[in-house]
Amino acid sequence: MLAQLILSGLASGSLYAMMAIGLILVYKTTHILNFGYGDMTMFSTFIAYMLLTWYKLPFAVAFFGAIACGLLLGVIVDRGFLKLAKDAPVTSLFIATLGIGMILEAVAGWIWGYDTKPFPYVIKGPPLFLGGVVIRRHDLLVFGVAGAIALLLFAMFKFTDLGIAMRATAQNRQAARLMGIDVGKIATLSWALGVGLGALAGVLIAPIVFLDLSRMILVMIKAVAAAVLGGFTSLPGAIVGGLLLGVMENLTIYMPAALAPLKTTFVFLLIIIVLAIRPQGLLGEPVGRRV
Amino acid sequence: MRRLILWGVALCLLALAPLFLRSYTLYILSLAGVYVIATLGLNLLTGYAGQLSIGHAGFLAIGAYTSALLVARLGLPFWLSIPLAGLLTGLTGFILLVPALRLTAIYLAIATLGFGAAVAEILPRWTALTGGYQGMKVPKAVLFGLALDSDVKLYYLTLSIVIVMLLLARNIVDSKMGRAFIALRDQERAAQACGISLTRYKAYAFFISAFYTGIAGGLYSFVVGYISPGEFDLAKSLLIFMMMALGGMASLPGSVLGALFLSFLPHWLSGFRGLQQFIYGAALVLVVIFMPYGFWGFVRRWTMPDKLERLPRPLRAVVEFVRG
Amino acid sequence: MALLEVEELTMRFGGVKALDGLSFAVEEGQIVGLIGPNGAGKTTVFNLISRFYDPVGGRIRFRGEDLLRLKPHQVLERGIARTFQNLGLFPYMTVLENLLVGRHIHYKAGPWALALGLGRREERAFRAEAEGLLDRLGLGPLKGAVVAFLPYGTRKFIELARALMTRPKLLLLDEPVAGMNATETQMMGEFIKRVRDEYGLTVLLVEHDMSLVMGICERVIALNFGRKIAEGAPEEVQRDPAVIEAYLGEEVRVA
Repeated sequence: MLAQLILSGLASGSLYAMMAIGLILVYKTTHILNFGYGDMTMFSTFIAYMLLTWYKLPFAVAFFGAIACGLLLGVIVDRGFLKLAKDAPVTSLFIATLGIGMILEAVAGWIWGYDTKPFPYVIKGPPLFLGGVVIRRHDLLVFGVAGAIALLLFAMFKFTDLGIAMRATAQNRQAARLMGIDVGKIATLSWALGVGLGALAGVLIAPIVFLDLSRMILVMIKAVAAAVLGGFTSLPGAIVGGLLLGVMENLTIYMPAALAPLKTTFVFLLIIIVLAIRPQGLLGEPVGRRV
Repeated sequence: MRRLILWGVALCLLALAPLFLRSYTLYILSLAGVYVIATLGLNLLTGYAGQLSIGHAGFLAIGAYTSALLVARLGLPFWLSIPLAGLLTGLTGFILLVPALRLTAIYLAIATLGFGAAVAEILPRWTALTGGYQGMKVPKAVLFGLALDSDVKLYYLTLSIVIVMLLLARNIVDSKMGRAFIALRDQERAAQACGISLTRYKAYAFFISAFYTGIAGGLYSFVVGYISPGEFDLAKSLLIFMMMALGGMASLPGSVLGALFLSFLPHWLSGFRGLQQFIYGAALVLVVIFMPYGFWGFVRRWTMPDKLERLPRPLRAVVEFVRG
Repeated sequence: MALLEVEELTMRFGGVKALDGLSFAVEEGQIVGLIGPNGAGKTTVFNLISRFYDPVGGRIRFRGEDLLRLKPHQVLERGIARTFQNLGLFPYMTVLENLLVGRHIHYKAGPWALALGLGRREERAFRAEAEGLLDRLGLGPLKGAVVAFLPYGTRKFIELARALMTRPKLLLLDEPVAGMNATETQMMGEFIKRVRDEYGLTVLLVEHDMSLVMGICERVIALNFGRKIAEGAPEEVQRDPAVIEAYLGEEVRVA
């Protein structure tokens, strides 16, 4: 039972982690908390839905369609909107991402309607049994994709010029600019990557929670929580935070029955306790105190 | 002197507004007044003291339920229930003080988000007290035998409370307390070296902010006449945050403008069926693009001496008159 | 008894020893200079007195009281005010408001009274006082200016004025003339001396500019690698071989 709960917790945790990484990529280079993320994810996932069910295209096409939409959305958000609000404080830009989210929600409503839609699983078939633990085939796919993404990002930040430029920008924008890094371009790329990653996660989440205009926002909130838990500036932290949050959620089943309806409260309380002990999150950089 | 005349004229206009406005518009104005108070509360905390919160709907809910219950269950007079709701909510503000002493920026934002989520989760389940999901009817406000049963009367009630809260906020901001908030926000170490206690002033900020939002909540319950847990969700916390940021951080007139704008926007849009959400979102984005520092930042910018030259003549005359 | 006594003060950051058993005392009424090459631990001493860090070992006593038992905001209440190397002004406040923050602990009105607007008289009195101080500094016309837009040298004077508004007994000045030209440096030096005499202050200052240190300090303490390497009258310390050696590596920078 416990092993089962942990395993399925890890599966949903991987999805939170993927979403969380998308948030962090944007936050690290631009310091903007992208609260339109849920809607951007929703929109991209609907593209996949449309390709799949309206045009009956194969899954691979839908998959890459969603990701392409996410990448494009990221570029449009940054270049088309945020760059126009030159030197606006991040609190204002945060509001702008909310506004963009509303616009996307409205457009999605016009195109795809307001009702909840089932989203097909990529891999169908009965669950697998592994030493008394049941694994959905979909969960295997989730683990695979999440693992691949983690490796790819790790390799990118470690070995490619682009990844190093992104890291430099995240650490010190001014210094990065002086070193000849086009900080604006890095921001756009971060937006594209971040929203694209959300799209990827969205396609994997939708079969589980179904797809409608607002559901992805709830997933986003969890991603924010996961990101904070792990330390908002750390990608490995996002993974740890996401997995931990997924498992923690599942383990709330052991709470006394009387407290069971207060699951969210309990999860947040745990997060706050963790943060009280480590104010910068599990793997975040210590909060700098300048004199 | 000119200031005084100006305030007098503004007050007269506001007092006479019920002669010109429809009852429904007055209702929206009252609701906007409620949000003005809540936004002032958030701005004192976030704009001035630099403590991010996206959980203020939780305080609004606590204030609303407290005042409604005090009147409905304990039979307290309504004029007493609102300040009591403010005080009680103010005390719950200390719940957030605990994480705020350790956490900064986005980490604190998540703690406040969690607080809002917790309140939204507890309220509907505490059926014995709150009436659960279907909410509760709030008794009519009665002031010394006079039932405040019309939109006009509620408008006057709201207007007077808003004015009092604005004056209090101005006093706070202009005093050593307001300066201490800003000092800690911008230069924590230097502020401490000036003898400002971090713990004490964070505590003040959270108490005051929760107090304001609690008052707003109490007023809300009487203006609307009916409260249910579903209204006090993340969307409402974000609404108050947007009112503050669009109006202008660390600005009292900004809070008024922001709250008025976002209170009326949905009603201006009610004619555009199916387009409301799109325009609402677009409006947010446009305001951010063209007024990055909010409405008040925009006003301030265009009333700077160098920009003033470029304003059309009548507008310039108004600005010059206001400045005296 | 000396006004400020530092005994065996030791501080570590990570593995680095910033201060290593440092002891010195500051007598009342003196202007004392704390000198030494970069990284010698001068600012660390200030930050320890300000209680921003807890030392690994040692004691700091001010008028006989153990400072290490205080919280950062309580240090000022005892009569120790300071300025910062990179300016500790509040950039979005006006000059006058910055000075009023210096008066923070002297306000008698409590929070409720402030909210109700009952502290006006006190506020007016302090405002007048701040304006008077600004006038004496020749900064009167700037009282309404937002600090962020003022030149660096001016801001240094404003920060010092704010420290004076706190009515301190001991003034800690962290590089008061850094980034100033020769004329400004001389003005600042004269100003420090004048306020010491008028207000009956004691001054402990950290400075790289030797013309200022030689010009106004009555006693100089030289640090290197967190240890005291010399102490005495300015001319003595300047001639001290250990000091000269410590600065040799810095010669290029000083020149």
